Amino acid sequence: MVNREAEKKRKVLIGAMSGTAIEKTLPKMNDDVTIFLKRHKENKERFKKEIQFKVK
Amino acid sequence: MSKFSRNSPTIKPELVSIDRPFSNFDFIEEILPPDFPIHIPIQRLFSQVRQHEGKSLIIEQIEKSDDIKEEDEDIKQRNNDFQTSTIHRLSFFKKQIGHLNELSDTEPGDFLGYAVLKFNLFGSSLPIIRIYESVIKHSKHANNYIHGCPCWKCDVNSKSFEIDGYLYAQQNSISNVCAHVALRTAISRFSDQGDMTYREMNKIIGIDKSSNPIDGLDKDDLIKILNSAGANCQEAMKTADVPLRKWIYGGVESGFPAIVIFPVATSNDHHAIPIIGHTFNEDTWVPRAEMPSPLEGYFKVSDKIQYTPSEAFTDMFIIHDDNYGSNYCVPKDYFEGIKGASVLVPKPPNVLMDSIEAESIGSGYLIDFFPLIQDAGPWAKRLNFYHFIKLLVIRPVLIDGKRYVEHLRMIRGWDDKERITNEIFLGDFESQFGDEALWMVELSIPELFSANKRKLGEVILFADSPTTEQDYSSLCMARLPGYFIIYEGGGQAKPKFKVDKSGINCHVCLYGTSEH
Repeated sequence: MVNREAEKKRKVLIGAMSGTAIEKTLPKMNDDVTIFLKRHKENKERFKKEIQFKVK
Repeated sequence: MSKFSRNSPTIKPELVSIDRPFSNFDFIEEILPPDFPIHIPIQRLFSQVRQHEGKSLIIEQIEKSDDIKEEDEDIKQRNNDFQTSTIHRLSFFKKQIGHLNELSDTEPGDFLGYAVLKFNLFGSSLPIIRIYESVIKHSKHANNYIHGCPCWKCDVNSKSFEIDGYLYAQQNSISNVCAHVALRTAISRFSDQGDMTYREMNKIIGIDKSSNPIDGLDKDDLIKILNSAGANCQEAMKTADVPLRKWIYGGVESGFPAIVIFPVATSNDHHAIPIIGHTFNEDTWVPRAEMPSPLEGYFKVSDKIQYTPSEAFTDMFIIHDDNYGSNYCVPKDYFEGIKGASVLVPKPPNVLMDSIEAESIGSGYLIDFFPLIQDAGPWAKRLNFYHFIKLLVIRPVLIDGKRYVEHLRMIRGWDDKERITNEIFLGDFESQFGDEALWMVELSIPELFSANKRKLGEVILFADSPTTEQDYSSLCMARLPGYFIIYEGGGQAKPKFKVDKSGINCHVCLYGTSEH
């Protein structure tokens, strides 16, 4: 889903929350996952080249 | 004329009691050439029926369906010695049936499945007998989980029966190979008709009268056929970060059989088998004993994000192998040790995020969100503590928005009273995301997960999101003890959320468990 569409749909959900919903913030998110995902993406590209077989 | 032999009209039916003292060995030896009285897949078939306490067998000589006629023509084109084939459909029942007329008195649960046996007859060599196709009820053991099974309609003496399961088939080694039959199993989750003929597959990859499928299918061939059936395909192999089993589990746990391809020890060729399900061992020792360490049974995204993936509670994968039969169990780590083993994981075409991305992104969000629910009572405190000692359990499942809303409507707290009451929220979720493919990343802790099959929350991600960053663009919402959490904006530097009471402060059943 493109970001703008997701944002619009999330706003609809926020509108459906009860009157007691509150706003909260977090400090800067941790980016550990981003580092893992970058390596994961590189691996997936590598698979395309390295996986070769002939199934009989 | 029927397209598939499971629906072919009967020519001659025969009823056989298979209760004791009927001998599977005697029966199978009678239909096989006397020089070689063993056929492992047929013996496996009859053994499964015995395990299900089958009492009656109906053997039908049937008319040739379109797919059988196609196969006969394709064999003849490649082997002049081929003469013809005979087809028998074997249907198994749990009930003792005294006469064929009593078929109409059987209950749906009495039908244990069917097998179509094809006898290929040659002029100068012995006939070759194989299970052309079969669907047999899967194991009666309660710890077997096979998700997303298609329902097959099978005709037995002009009466229609239904059986759930993944289709098993054997190659003929002339116009098709093990890759074709593995594909038939996997494709059943995608193809409109739930099946594809071997000629259709060969046509997709350009195998015609002048070329020979037994030369083998390569990776591109398999992917082309899966794509034509409507599946997107992820290819993967074992890496230092991610074992092969994690890719396999990511498919089968969401109801999409994976195809494992591995080298055959005796030649340079490869073998392909479909993996259709897994076992679940609530008493397993390994994930506890090895926590927290980067060994098997544990998964490390980073120093901060470490957890037990739900597949750690799996002992076995459930597979078909065209050489040996259907519904076998294989240790989940069996393929890790085979050099050159790889896996193809089919998934719906709109799913761009894989199960490993979903699990790692989801676990990162869940852990980040703990500060937002500090006042949510004892379960919020427990979550924080279990995260501190790195004992969270994470399970990714691919669903759609409608099924998630059904789940939210059904879940109850441990007192059986706490539930989600904001119908406007549930209705809006369904209208906005009902048709969306979503990854539901469930969060639990040991014992609660394994013994009670319950969880403390989940994060919902857009499965069609191509993002490979944890930047909130793929985040739909999260539910943790006490609260719904929705991202409002602010980016990675200062993320802002709207947090609302959900009505459930404790644990609820995992998605797809029996309580659900």
